[in-house]
Amino acid sequence: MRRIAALALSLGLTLGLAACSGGGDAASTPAPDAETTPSQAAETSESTEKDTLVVVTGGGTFNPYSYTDEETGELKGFEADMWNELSSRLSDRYDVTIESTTFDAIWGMLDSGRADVAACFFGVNDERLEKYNASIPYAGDPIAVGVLADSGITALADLSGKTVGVAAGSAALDELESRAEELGCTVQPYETFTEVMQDLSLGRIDACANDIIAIHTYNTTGADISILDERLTQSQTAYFVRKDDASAAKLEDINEALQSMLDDGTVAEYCVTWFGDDLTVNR
Amino acid sequence: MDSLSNIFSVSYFLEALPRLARTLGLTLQLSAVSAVFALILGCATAIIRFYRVPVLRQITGVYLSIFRSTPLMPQLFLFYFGLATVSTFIRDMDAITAACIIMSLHQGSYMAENIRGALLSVDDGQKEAAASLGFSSLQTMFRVILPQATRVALPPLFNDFVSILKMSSVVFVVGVTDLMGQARIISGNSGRYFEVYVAVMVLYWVIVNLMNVFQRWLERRCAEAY
Repeated sequence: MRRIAALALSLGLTLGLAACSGGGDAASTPAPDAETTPSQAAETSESTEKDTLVVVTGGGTFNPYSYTDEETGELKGFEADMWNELSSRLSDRYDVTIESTTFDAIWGMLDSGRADVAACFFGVNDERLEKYNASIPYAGDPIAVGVLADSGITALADLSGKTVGVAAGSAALDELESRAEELGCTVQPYETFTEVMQDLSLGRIDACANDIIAIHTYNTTGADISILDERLTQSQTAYFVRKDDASAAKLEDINEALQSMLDDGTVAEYCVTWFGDDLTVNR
Repeated sequence: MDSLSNIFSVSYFLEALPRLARTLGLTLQLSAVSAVFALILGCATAIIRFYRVPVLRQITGVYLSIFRSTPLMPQLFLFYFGLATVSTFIRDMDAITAACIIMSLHQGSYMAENIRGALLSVDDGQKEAAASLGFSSLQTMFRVILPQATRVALPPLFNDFVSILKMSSVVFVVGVTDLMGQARIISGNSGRYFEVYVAVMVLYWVIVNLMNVFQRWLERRCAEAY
């Protein structure tokens, strides 16, 4: 049901966008037949040239990246905003459809050709680059260190002699354990990040480390954690397409639209809206 | 065979086992300390309830109803993180101490009822005989009733000790990296859960079975008196 709703919605959206851009065209070059509405004009004059572009993103509860609104069934989140905007910027060349599925099924949709672009805040790594082509990076979710506002810790060097809490199984645990000696800090693992934040706010530990978005998410629940400007890792997220000629051509157009969104600050704006911080790269 | 080694890699299992075993000391220490305090607390509570000591009996009633009727994990979470927001004493307490306190209180409430049952199993005639010999009620408790009750209480008490050992696996919640906590860390990193959890089960199994050997020896010794 959700997929059908999302499909119907995105279909309606693309038609709506087509109507908008069609309106613009109709204004610059007067329609030959006064009886036809601008949207019909757009449909008939452009449908032959327009390529389709199916984007697949996460659905369900993948908040704040991409999730389905419980009440309206509407796709929301950072990626939803990104692709609604990209759709309109690409609308003169493409009919963009936004699909959503479970997180695991996204790559399957791309592999099977049901979708052209995988878009769910995916990090760029060697395994993915071996199999897919990536767009220009647009943001990142680096591992960051959070401290209490009055702790006096302002840089990674200040962590010497301090205790840093991390959640078991997180990438932050791996990263910190390999650098504990260099930083001179004690790594304290916990079952989940919830307990890390409990002990940090009680002052039992001095700092926490996690993906920066996870720390920001905590701050939206009333905590007041300062995030150090120095990051433990650099990370870049991008959109992924199959390695074939048709996809390569589409990727070029996507990159162009994406760069324009990075240049005019649109991506930064969405980052602040959904993650509480400007996480853009490649500006 | 190929798919089987994908699901369960014996070499990874053998690699994980010693890494997990390194935390055994902490798990055993945590369990042993908690077991001693739980036993003291359980005995005291059982005796108070057995003799229906006024005031103390009401206090133990409240204690039992809280700790026997709620799960351990939220008890520990609320004590270590919740009460710490109002008490600097608890805020400065280290996690292992907090875990021992809550585990003792939690399992002590079960032991209290097991011990009370054993006390009730001692025949009234024994008490009457002790009274006719001029024993005070404390003398009767420590020299007549408790020794007989111990024999009855041994099997359920060993169950309680086993419970303590296994319940110590929740202490990772407060940041104590015990056997189970180490298992979560190792498996979270490698994604190989089956090997790690089988290794955890093997280690717990060995300890509990060593405890069983000790229990049987102790039961035989207690039976010699009869």
